[in-house]
Amino acid sequence: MRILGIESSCDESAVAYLEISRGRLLRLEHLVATQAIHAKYGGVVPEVAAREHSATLPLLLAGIAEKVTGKADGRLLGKRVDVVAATRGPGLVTSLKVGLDTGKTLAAAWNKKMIGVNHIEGHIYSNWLPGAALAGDLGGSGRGLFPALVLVVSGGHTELLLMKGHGRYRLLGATRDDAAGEAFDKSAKLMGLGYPGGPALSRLAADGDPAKYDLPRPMLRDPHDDFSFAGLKTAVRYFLRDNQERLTDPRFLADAAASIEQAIVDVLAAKTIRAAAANKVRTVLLAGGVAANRKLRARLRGDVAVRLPGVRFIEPPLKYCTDNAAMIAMAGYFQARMKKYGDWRTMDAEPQWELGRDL
Amino acid sequence: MKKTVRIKDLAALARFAEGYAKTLRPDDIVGLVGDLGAGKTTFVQHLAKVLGVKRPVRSPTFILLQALPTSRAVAKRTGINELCHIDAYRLKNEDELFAIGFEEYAERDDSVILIEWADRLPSVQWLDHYREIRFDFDGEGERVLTLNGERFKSG
Repeated sequence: MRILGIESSCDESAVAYLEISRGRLLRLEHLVATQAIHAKYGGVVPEVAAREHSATLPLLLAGIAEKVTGKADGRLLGKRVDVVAATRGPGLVTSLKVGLDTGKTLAAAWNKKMIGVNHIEGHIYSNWLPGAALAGDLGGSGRGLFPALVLVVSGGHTELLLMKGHGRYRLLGATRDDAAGEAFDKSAKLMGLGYPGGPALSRLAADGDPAKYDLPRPMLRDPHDDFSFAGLKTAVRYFLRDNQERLTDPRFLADAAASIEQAIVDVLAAKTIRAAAANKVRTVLLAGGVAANRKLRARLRGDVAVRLPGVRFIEPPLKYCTDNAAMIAMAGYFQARMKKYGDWRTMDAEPQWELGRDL
Repeated sequence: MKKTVRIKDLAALARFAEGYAKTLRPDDIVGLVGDLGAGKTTFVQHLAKVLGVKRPVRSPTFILLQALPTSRAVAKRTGINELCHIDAYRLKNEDELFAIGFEEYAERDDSVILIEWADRLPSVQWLDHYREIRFDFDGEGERVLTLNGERFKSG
């Protein structure tokens, strides 16, 4: 099966080509919008997300066509595609529409099957992409893997999902206010590290003492699977205000960054382990942009090993943690295997589509 | 006309939101201005609850805009069918506000638009039916809310 994947749910435009035959990955080509692609195919780099997507996606498609067929020719590419998979939601409606409408138009013009992919499901399936532990597990039913608990963490999402099989989810809990990635980014901003500064905060934290300052761990022990990070943000704000004179001290900044990161990671790990134990899962999966955080990975890896004997922990390859279309194509592949096709005539963007809750 | 309200804790913010909800009209544009962690999203959460919004109200920083349908009973009583929750924090300029579909909501008279970080969008403040809540910290851990552009009942 050959799948064209398209992603435009937020800031990143991306296109991917995936070929899988008899459960083996034969080919994966993947492009994310860069200045280089604009230079090569003569585009410009506009500011606004939706406008950026509509200027960029045709160039990315030309780039993928060239990689796959040797020529930047959409008709040739169409002959090498069986299924078009585009992100349908959740995301910003104006951005989503650009990628989804592109996908629908291609499916119509090429007379191909169409799949509207949930962006979060895409993140989950980054765990089946090359470099991940499940990369070889494309053919079977995933026996021994399910039920799995998935922690999805990114700038816009913090969710715990129970995955009962391929494409079968139940939403256990989610953030009630800020996402974990947002807690990183906004804490970084309060510390003067710019926005979004989550990765910068983590780099700073590497040299700090995570036990130095005691910050709140919201909902850490609550008997439910929801998260809340808004209160932590306000606590960080007061904490920094009370230590204003030390904001130029590198030692203080490193310790503060490490303590903030520790508070966020503690909550994510504790809630994940609790939900995994309560639901007697066989696997714990990590997904989303914040899955690239080394501390979170190491902590979950360690906690699963120590506290959930016999449970497997699986983390996505670093290069597929941020938004990309390879993960959309992979999620599309598993949907297509189950013949869960959509209809391009009627499919519309679903900006608030929650995985694990029916549309 | 300006009015200030002192808010000593989250419960007080909830009570304030409850009263504020009663003053909303279905074509209002409410700017929410204040620093990170000042309580803007929390205020919207309380407001949404009073107006019967079923959907979870999360920070819209990443998604930029989220539509929140009110309950049928509230819609019938107030004429407000939807809250449109916008976060201008990541917007680089005012053009981007229109690129995410702001106009569609601004032209409607059955929805209330709530814009966090509205101070980043100066021209929005000149729109009809614009009102504003400024969230400040008083240094003692209490918040001071400043209300601007309130419409007062005539007669």
